[in-house]
Amino acid sequence: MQKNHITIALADDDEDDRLFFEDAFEELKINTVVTTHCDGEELMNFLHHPETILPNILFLDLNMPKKNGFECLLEIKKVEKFNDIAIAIYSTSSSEEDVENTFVQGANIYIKKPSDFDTLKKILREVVTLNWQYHTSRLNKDNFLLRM
Amino acid sequence: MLKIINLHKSPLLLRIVFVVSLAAILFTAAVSYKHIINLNKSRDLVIHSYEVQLELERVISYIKDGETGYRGYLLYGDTLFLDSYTHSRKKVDNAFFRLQKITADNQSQQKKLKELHHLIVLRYTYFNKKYEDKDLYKKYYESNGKIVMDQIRKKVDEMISLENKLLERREYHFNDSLSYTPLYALLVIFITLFFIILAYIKINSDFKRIEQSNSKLKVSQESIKQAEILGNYSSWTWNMEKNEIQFSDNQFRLHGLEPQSFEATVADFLKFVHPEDMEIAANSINNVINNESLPTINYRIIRKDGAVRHLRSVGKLFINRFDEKIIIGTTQDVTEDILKKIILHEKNADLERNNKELVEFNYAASHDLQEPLRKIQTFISRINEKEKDHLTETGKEYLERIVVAASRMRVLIDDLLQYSRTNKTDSSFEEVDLNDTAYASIQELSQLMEETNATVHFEELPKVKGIPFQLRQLFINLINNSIKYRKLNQPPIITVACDKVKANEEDNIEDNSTRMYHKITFLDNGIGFHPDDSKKIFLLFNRLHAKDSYQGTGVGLAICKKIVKNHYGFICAEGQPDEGAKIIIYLPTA
Amino acid sequence: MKAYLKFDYTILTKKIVEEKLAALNLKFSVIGFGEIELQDTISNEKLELITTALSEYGIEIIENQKSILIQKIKDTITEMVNSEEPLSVKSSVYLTEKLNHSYGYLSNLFSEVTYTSIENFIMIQKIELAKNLILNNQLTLTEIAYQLNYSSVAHLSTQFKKITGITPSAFQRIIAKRRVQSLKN
Repeated sequence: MQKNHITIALADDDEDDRLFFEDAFEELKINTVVTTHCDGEELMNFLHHPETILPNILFLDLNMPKKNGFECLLEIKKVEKFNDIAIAIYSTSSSEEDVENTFVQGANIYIKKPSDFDTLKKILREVVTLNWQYHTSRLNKDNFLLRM
Repeated sequence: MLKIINLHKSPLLLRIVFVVSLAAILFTAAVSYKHIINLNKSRDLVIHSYEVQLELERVISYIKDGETGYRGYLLYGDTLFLDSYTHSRKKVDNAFFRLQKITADNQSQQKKLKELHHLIVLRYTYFNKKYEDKDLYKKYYESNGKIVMDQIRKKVDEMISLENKLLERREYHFNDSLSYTPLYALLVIFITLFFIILAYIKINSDFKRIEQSNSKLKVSQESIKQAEILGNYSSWTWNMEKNEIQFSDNQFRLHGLEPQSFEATVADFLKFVHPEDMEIAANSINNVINNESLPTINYRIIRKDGAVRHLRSVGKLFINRFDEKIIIGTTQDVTEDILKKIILHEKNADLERNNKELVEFNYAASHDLQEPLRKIQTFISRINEKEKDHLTETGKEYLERIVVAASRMRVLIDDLLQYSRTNKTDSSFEEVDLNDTAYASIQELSQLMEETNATVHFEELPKVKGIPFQLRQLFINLINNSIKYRKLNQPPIITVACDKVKANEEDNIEDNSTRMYHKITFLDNGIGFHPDDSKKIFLLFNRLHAKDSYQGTGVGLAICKKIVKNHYGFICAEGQPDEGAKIIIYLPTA
Repeated sequence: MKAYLKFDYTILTKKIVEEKLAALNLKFSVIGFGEIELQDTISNEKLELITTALSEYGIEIIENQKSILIQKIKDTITEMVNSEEPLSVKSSVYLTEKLNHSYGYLSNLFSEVTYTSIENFIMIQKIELAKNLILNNQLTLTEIAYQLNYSSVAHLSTQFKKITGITPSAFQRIIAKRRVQSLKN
């Protein structure tokens, strides 16, 4: 079990967003290992791969080709070995109903993509930190709900 | 009782009156006839009697003549006097002969007559005897002659009195019947007259009525004909017993032909029916024959000139006064109506499609515009962070303005997106406890409320049918609005009250029925607005204040209005400048 | 049939440690929360055995001082927040007293290692407790607010929303819908 760094995964079909994401984590200077994926199918293949080290936190964009974020969420929630992954929906604005629905279907975090790089960094820091709290303090993962 | 009353209206009465009158008249005629006959008889009898009397008197007279003659002869010895004596004998015989005839019917008279004859013969025998021996006669036969004469006289008197008695009796008999017969006849005549007058009056009035009815009927018929032409319909009757069909004139015109131009039969009618509707028409005809009714059917006909028309027919069963079953029906040309309906339907479908496209476009546009804008803003923030030092002052300033403009655009798009999301209602209605809604909305605004020291008071709110998310949004927007437009130095206080009202008693709403609504009033102590703006504030992107003084794009209340509309309710606002605002929403009761 | 469980981690962990150590025939005594004293010194192998046995249950032996203190701070805070009685003194005072260090020192250390402030951690713990209390359905929000030392429900809501991004009632709603969902599956 890797203790000192946090494994992050992102699935987003937008190149710029992937870039922002990676840059943000780089600037955060938290010990993280970040992998990015460009669509849902690729992500699922990655997760199911036997040699994959499962991420602590998985960021899912909702609008992706081949398999969108919501479908991935439903699939992941069905697999027991993925239970420890904190799932963060990382998307452009959705309606209140849709946001609540992602939580109901098992997402832990919902992040509305910010339009400012600093905000992005803050958000990612917050998410990682809070998740770390849950992880280290043995808080009830089921109650882990965060909306930013 | 009713029967009797109705009787005076029925033709039966007339017949009865007629028969009675006829009978009465015949009776009277018979009676009169009898009366006349009797009168004649009576007269005859009287004449008869007087005739008898006369003859009898004549007989006596003649006898006396004879006597006188004879006496004369006796006196003067002149045979001239004997002439009158012989004459008298002849006359007496004649008279006697007549008497015999006259009294032939009366046996007692005949008897007496015989006796008289005997006496007369005796008398004349005396007379004859006188011829031979004058002096002997004078002594013997004269006195006997006088006795016989007296006897004759007596006999005549007897006969006369008998005749008189007979006359009296007969007259009495006739008088009896004669006395009341005229009265009776008169009475009957008067009664008959009365009935005749009555009948006349009735016939007269009936006739007048029939005349009136007739003329009304004529007018009616004419106007029906006109109405049929104008209303584009026709009427027909189908006598089921005789299997006769009658079409009104307009039925032919509906088929594009002159009245009565084809024979009114089922077969001829079917010739016109559109091939696709043949089955419908045939079925309905069977229906008529079997079930004796014709519920409304729609079918098409093809006129001779090729035009297709839509017709609608309906029929009902009636029993006429001959106990025959008749279907009375109406056919109407509804082509225009049907065409209009089709056009309306298409237009509606078009509108709906258009609307749907617009809503989808609106949503897609707002949604898709976010991405590039976000990128712009993010990259600008990157530039600001990393390349700021490489920019000139102007560059920095320009960048600043881009940031401001971009954020403005962001707000606009966010609001638009929020608005267009309210349009898409594919969510289903549930039962929503508005108290929960209120509670949740306060929690969402808790930070803002804390910062502005705002208080919100809710009365007990009802349960309604609706979309929970939208109703929450509604409450949040309204309270947020009240807090946003608060007075500078006053902590905002918002009260929410609820009432149940009837639609037609509220001027604010356009519903005029008796439906019940929940009237929920949001009252604040903020800066208010001018009453003239009360409708404007709900317009999309309308703002009453300058862009900089109060943040917002003016979509909040427009969203509220849309949400209320989605819930089949109404919203309105009342306010005065600087005296707070009141937003009233009406939601239908569950 | 549904059953709601409440966990007392203190008792849980204590029991496990006792069992595991006893199974390994080690004599020990429990001093405080998260602190045991072994009678004898043990070899590395034994240490490894203990570590393995306990790690199954997620129990780790903390090695360095800093980590020990951090853990202590966390535990104290957890205990403080979870106690049924409302606090009579400020949390900073409480911690200082309980851990015998200045608040400034504790605060700095905590932030350095965990990347969060003590205040933030306290808030997280409070909110966590609030979540549990909400889910238990026994208390109203007002009562929960009182128990957690908030001046009002609005205050609790604000804090809750600040930490989690959603309101307490939204949280309640989501968990309820999740339960309905899991019943369907």
